[in-house]
Amino acid sequence: MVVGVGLLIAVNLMALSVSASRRYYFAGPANVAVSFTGPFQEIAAHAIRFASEIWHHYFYLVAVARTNDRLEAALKGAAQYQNQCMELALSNQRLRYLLNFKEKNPRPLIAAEVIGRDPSPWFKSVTIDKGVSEGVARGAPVVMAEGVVGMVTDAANHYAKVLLIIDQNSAVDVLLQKNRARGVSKGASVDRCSLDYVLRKYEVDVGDAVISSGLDGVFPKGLRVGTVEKVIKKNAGVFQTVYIKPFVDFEKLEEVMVLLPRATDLRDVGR
Amino acid sequence: MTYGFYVIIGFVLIVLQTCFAPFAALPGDMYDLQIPLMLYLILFRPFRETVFGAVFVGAAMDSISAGPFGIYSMTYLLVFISGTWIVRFLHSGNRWLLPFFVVYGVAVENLVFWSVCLLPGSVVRPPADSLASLGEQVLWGLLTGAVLISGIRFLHRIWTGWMDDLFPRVSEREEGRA
Repeated sequence: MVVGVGLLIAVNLMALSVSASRRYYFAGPANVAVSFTGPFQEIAAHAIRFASEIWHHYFYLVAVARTNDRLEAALKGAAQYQNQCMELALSNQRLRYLLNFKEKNPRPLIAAEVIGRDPSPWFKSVTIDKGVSEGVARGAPVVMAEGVVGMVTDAANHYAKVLLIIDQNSAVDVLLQKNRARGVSKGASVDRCSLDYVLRKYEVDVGDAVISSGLDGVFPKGLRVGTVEKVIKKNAGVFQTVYIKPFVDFEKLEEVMVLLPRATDLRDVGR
Repeated sequence: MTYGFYVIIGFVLIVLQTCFAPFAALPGDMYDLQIPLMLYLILFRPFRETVFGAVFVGAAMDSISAGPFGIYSMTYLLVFISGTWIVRFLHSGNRWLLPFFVVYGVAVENLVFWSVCLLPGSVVRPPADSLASLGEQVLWGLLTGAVLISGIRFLHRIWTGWMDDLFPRVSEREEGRA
């Protein structure tokens, strides 16, 4: 028995050293565990939401809560629309001079509910109630009306694990909307990201909007990521240190949308 | 039959940890709720059941976490080995020592995490607030750890009672082996 335990520790140590050196980890075992725990998490999440709904909509000022929900939804839509308009105006100016402008098809979306969160305090991921059967695949971007949420790292039959952009292993190629300066957004803590590799020559101000650049091949261009919260420009060095506050409130994450591949992408893969 | 209890209680604790604790918006970071289960096994159950618990619960937790595969399995195996040794000297079955035993488990888990950060070639970085997180986990462990261990012990007694009623022969055989 003692030899067995020693062997287990040795095997475990090897697995740990291999997986710790990779940014995204094993997919196989996770699918099994997520498939097992998923249904229980789904039931628990629905029960919690049901209890929370009863409290907020029946006992806690019925009319005010409903109006508030409606107005919040409308505001989210308006914010997204405003950002889209701003992006369209900016890109229109640049693309006006390009003759080979090609209009891209919008990607199909699927709504999913968050049914569980990462058990550890160090890693930031959530489990959603959509998986391979619904078309969700590993590497699919996950968004909300407010902005970018994360990326699917494991997909089981009916459930998937999403790595949030605030996780330390997450990286999104981004642009500063105002001056188009490029950088990489990485998870820094519970509610903020660091923006790395922004050249010192760019003027970055607190409150500037940060959007996805589309160059990482995961997130389409123009999705809202966050706003600049802090800028540290040291006397020496090529880059400046920038911190972003994401638009998405990850503490209150309940529903998300997964971007599915376009039909044309799938046809290309088929070839 | 008793292994079935560990599987069920393991899943219940995972759901509590991943659904109820985050949605209840409890202040601070909650500690790993599987640690009280592991300590219950170390303190009150035979060796082979503890090894089963460490391997099964460790694999399940590693699979659903976004961290490197092996953090939880390693934690439970280390808690099992060191915990068994400590119990011989401290008699930690004493209920007044239970909260401190839970704190010990939390400390081992955090130590494993920091060690993974220091592994050569590791891409895992400790978050800026990891010390504050440890403090919060320790506080939660002190407040609720002993209650959880006692609760698991109580539920296991009820489970054993049911199993004795349903399958008397199997239970007798299991008792004979133990």
